[in-house]
Formats: sequence, C-alpha cells, structure tokens
Amino acid sequence: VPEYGRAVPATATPGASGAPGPGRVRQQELVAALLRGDEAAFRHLVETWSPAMLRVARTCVRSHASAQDVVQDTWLAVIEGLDGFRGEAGLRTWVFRILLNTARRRGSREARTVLLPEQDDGTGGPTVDPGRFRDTDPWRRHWTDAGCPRPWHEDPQDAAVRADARRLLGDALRRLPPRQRLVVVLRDVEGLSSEEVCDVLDLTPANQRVLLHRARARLRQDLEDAAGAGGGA
Amino acid sequence: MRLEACQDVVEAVTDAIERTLDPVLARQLRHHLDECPDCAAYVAQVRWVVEHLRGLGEPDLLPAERVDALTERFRLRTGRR
Repeated sequence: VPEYGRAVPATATPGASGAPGPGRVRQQELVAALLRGDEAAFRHLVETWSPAMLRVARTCVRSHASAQDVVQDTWLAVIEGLDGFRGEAGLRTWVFRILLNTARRRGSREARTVLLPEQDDGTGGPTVDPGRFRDTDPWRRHWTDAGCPRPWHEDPQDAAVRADARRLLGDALRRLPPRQRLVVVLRDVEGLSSEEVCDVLDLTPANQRVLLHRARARLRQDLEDAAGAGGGA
Repeated sequence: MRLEACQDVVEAVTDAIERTLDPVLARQLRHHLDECPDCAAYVAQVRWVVEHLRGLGEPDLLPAERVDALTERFRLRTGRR
C-alpha cells in the first residue's frame, strides 16, 4: 500500500524519491582525501560525477561541447577553491552550485538576448485544466467523463513501447520552462535531495516544491497529449 | 484545508509522492484514491513519470583527455599546497 503521509524518521526510507546521494560521512572522507592531494580520489570523483554534471549543464547551454567546457571549468574552480571549502552544505551541493553558476553564465551568453522573465514560474494556479472538472454539484470539482486522465502506457512490458515513452519523456523535459526543468532534472533525473536542490539553485523549499509540482504535472500532461495524438506511448 | 475533490487531489500529488503531506490529509487522500479510479490513475501516471525520469538521457562521459588534464591540474595545484 503506497504511503502518502509525512514520513516519521524511524521508518523513513532514505531516498524514497530517488536514490540517495553520497552520504555526508562519505563526502567528508572525500573532502579529506582531496585536501591530502589524493589524485586517485580526485580522478574517481571527476569520473563519477561528470555524467550527471554534463546532463545538468546541457539544460542550460546549447551544445554538447559547451556542456563539456562548463563541466571542465567547474572542476577547475573546484581545484582552485578546495582550500577554502567549508563543507557546511556538503561537497556535492558546493560542486553543483559552481556548475550551475558556470552553466547559466555561459547559457545566457549563448542566448545572446536578454532572457524574458519566465511566464509559468513557480507561482500558484492549477496544474490541470479546470475545464476537466465538473462545475456543478453534487460532484463539483470532480473529473468530468471527458476530462478524466487518459491512459498512455498500455503495455509496459513491451520494450519498444518503453523506449518510445522514454523518448517522449525526454522531449517533454526539453520543452519545460528553464527553472522547472532544472529542478526536475536535479531532483528526479539525478536524484539530488530537495535540500540540495534548494541550496544549489537558491530556492526556498516552498518554491522548489511548486516548481517540481508544476514540472511533473506538465510532463504527465505532455505524455497524455502525445498518447491522445496517436503517439502510442 | 480538506482533501475531498479530485481537483484537490491533483494539486496534492507532489506532497503525496514526496511524503510531506500532513497525516490528516494523507488519510483523506488514501480514502479518496480507494474510491476514485480516475485519481488513482492520475497519481500512478505522475509516479510513472518520476520513476522514468531517473537517469534519463544518454550516458555521457567527460572525454578521457579532459579528465587527464584536470587530474594533472589537481596534481600541480596540490603540489603547491
């Protein structure tokens, strides 16, 4: 039976909404190794974290090569800044903050235009078209017959259907407004905790939650639309 | 706040999946989902999205020559410490 309520610490499953990142203790060991000048530890860290960093950077910049430059510049900044790293927020949070600053700077340079303030940006408003719900009693604000969610994945066992769904999901992800996309990439694709995402993107917990909520609702809607349009996922 | 209508459920889905829902609301949600297959489908679809997002995107490595260059820089830098 799925659980929906607030998790009590004793029974909380770590990383229930994504695999746990490197724990604090592990991160402290890593920092100590880096400060000692442990080359193997540094190399291992670069190899392990760079794939996620490349995907995150790619949400801000135009090309694959740009993303590689961003990740390389981030690691250079990490090397330079290591002595001053205090470690309050954790190594990964620190590295990803540098990454996001570098990627966003480069992204706005590449865009060459002033970025317009985002329209759909973490403010309220319904995430599902209100027209899909009844407006008369007794079932006011319940789904209408035509408005109820349409199924999209009839056969999750079928590898082709699964691959198609993943492709659609990737397309939908690229269409999200930038801040929503960043939050959902960090949280759901890369598995950072909500605390880490707040620290990395300078968001309040409430803001992070709203962006995540809107992003997930929009992705669901996109997949539903694609299935309805004969996308067949 | 009460969690009664379907329109409330769709806005509570993130808190439900994050397990940050107030216990009273969580109970109301569970009750609603037991009775309402449409909302159960909606929640399942959002869960499906979250599960399939994990690790989405092609595996992508920093090219070995860049890793080598970085490791060299690390070596030089720590040598000066």
